[in-house]
Amino acid sequence: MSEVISPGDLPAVSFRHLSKTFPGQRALVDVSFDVAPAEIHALLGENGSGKSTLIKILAGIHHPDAGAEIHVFGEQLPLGSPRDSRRLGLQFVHQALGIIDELTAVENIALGFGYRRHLGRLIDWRAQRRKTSRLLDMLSVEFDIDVPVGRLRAVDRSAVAIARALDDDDGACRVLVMDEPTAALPPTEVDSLFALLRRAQAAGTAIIYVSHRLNEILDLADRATILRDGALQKTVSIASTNRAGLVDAIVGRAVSERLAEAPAERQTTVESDVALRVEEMNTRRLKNVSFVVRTGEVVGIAGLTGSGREELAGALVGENGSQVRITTGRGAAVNPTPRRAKKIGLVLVLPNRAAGAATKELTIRENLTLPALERYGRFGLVRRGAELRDTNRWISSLDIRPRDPERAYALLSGGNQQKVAFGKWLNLDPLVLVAEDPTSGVDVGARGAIYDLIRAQAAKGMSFVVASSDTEDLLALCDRILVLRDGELVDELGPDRMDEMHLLTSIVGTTEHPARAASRTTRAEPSP
Amino acid sequence: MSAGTTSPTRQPQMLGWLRQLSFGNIGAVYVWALIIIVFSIWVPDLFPRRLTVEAIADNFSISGLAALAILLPIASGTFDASVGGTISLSGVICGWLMINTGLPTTVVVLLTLLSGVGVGLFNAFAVVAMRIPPLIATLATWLIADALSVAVSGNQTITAPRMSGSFSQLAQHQIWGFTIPILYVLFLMLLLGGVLTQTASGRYVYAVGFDPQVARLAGVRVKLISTGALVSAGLIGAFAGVVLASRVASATPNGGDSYLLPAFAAAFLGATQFRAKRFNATGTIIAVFMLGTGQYGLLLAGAPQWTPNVFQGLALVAAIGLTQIRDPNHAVARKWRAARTKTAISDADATDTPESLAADDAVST
Repeated sequence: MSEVISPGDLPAVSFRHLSKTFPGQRALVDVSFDVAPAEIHALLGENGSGKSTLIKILAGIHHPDAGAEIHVFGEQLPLGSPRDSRRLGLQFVHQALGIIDELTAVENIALGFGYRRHLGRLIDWRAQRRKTSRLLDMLSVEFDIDVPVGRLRAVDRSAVAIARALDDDDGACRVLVMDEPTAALPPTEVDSLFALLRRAQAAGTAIIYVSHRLNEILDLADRATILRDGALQKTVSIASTNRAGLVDAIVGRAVSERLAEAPAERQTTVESDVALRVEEMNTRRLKNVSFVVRTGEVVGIAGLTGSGREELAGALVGENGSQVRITTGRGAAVNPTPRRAKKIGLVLVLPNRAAGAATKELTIRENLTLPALERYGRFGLVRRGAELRDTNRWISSLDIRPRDPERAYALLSGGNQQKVAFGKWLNLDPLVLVAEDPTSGVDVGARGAIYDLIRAQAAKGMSFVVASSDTEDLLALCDRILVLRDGELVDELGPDRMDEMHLLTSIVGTTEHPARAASRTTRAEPSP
Repeated sequence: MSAGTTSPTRQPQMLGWLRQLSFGNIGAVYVWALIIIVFSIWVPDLFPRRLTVEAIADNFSISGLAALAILLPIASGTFDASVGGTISLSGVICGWLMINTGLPTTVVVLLTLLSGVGVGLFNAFAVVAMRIPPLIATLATWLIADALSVAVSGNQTITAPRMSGSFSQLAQHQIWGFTIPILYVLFLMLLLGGVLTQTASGRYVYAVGFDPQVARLAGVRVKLISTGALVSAGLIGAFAGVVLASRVASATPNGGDSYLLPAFAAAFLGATQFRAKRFNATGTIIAVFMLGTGQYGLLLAGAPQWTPNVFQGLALVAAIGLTQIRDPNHAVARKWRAARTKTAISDADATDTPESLAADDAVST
């Protein structure tokens, strides 16, 4: 599906000198490239490479640094205005589709552009339904448009979101931006989605497609632009490259020294005791997952979104009810509740922006001491002195800024919130700390601090389970990485294969080594 | 490390006591003072008298008890709309027991308080066990309790000589001209305030109220906290019913209904005091008597009957409105700040607009 852009054609989107500086971090550095009309253009890069920032700028959510220009079919895009982005025909389908499960397809599509009206204010349901059918016909999908979309197949829900984006009331959608559209899809429905996208492309829509899944890109895209650390690496035609070429461009040929140094520090933990034994964990996605974590060991959990990775951390402490047998040095629990898990020394640190990480309205002090509050009680009263002493200790040892115990959590920066989210569980002195996406939404500096924190605690004998979508986290932190695919534990990476190439390959699971394929059927044995 | 963190620009440190006395901290006290001044000028011959103070204290003590009754439920994120019904029912039960049994007054009072605990447990069953939204569940309880108060009383005001005896001293006993219920209010205010600010349970109440998910993951027994809060509301509500019956030496079916909305007004207004956005005992009681002073002043000034309620409603809207704007996450306030400190806004600040929420999901993959 290669095509040639004749010089006369105006690019669908043309980015010029796009830079964006956040406090303490340059998210984008002078990025310029073009997206051709009616092409599927992949945007690739690691987490933190600037993809999301670029898309947010295109959507008008972020304002770029001075000097940037974006043209849409030759027309200059006023920056920092979501309304203008939409007016120029840019449409966005985010991973969290932005559709409402309780409403029908007809209603969801009307949410985008308003209802058809007649007699002044009354909704013209017939016209609205006709429009819905027409849009969905365009995508050649067929389902009942009058049932709540929550009951539809995942790919049909995506179709509703795409149809809404393609809604042509206010001029055709000319550029469709899709952010990880397959993340929530079962593999069987991915092909249907691709067919949808190709039909939209055939109708003349340019598609900017963000994904971590290289196989999809190779399948679907015409060209790809690769970002690394905020800078443009290159724009390549998919026909002229291959998987290895893409991975090289994404990760960088010399995978940074920082990552390389990590294995040197690792101690051999094979000899030490088992700190956590997880047996037969079953949740909605996870099937019979069992593994062990040794004292002082950092075990990573990798996998695509949808592989069960995002459920594992919560399931360990019984966040949403799970079936599992857990044994730690302090006791055992079957299907634990968070309270029970806490008792046996197993705690969960959530990413600071996730629900349940910490209480926004409470202060740093109140958040830090909440799990261990019983410790400060005397005759039912909280000993304020002891509480404040511990709070200040964590504020200084984790370098939480500002150094004000009474500051509300909501007012902290993402990195400092994450430190509080760690601190409140470290304060409990757990045996095993489960961290989910520990660096999501934090800047480079705080990321380093969190690495240091985990390494220091691990050196003192605390064990960690790090479930992360971020391969950099996993490679930098972990002694072993367990890989999940379709809810099953399929691979285990020891020091010998601890690199980006092996990890990505194992996560995506295509170019599978025959030996690994065999181990997949017998299911991973935890110990080496 | 230093590259990553941008510590928010610190406010210049105000002297501690100055901050304590700032309008932002105790605005209601200043408004209260203003109300007193206005009425002292408006009705100089009636308002600025000791008698007025005693009357306000006497008239609004039941409101104070009702407001304290709902404090723990709303602080813990549930709701108790049944407190009016609890007051009605317990008053009538108390009167019925006084007349139809020979039980000593103390036992009667204890049994009545027990009935309040029963109402609280029923609420807890509906809200915590059956997971009915608290407003709906407790409104239903209100209806039921009110209807029961009619049933128990035979839809008649219960009076008897026995209720004017030693029983009436429970509310009519005077100390320095003040009737005793104001002491109950102050005592309960200190007790609940102490529980909320000084005990682990109080911390859990707030933790559950702000974010039950965080509390649950932290190992807090969320259901127990909610249950306890609702039972406390039933208990205090029943006590208010007993005091009401003693105060008027009779018990009227539906007698407690008028206390519900003023109680909520006071609790929400009180939450704007001291630590912004937190329901607290002292602020609630200040609000009760601030609102009471205004209402009583209006009556003394001969204003029409409907004006006190208008005053109460406006005061509530004004107080909550001002707090909302002070809230760091409020849209208006955010724009304000953004305009002032353009550079210091970190990415994490803008998490709650729909667009950025959707986009944030993209970041986290």
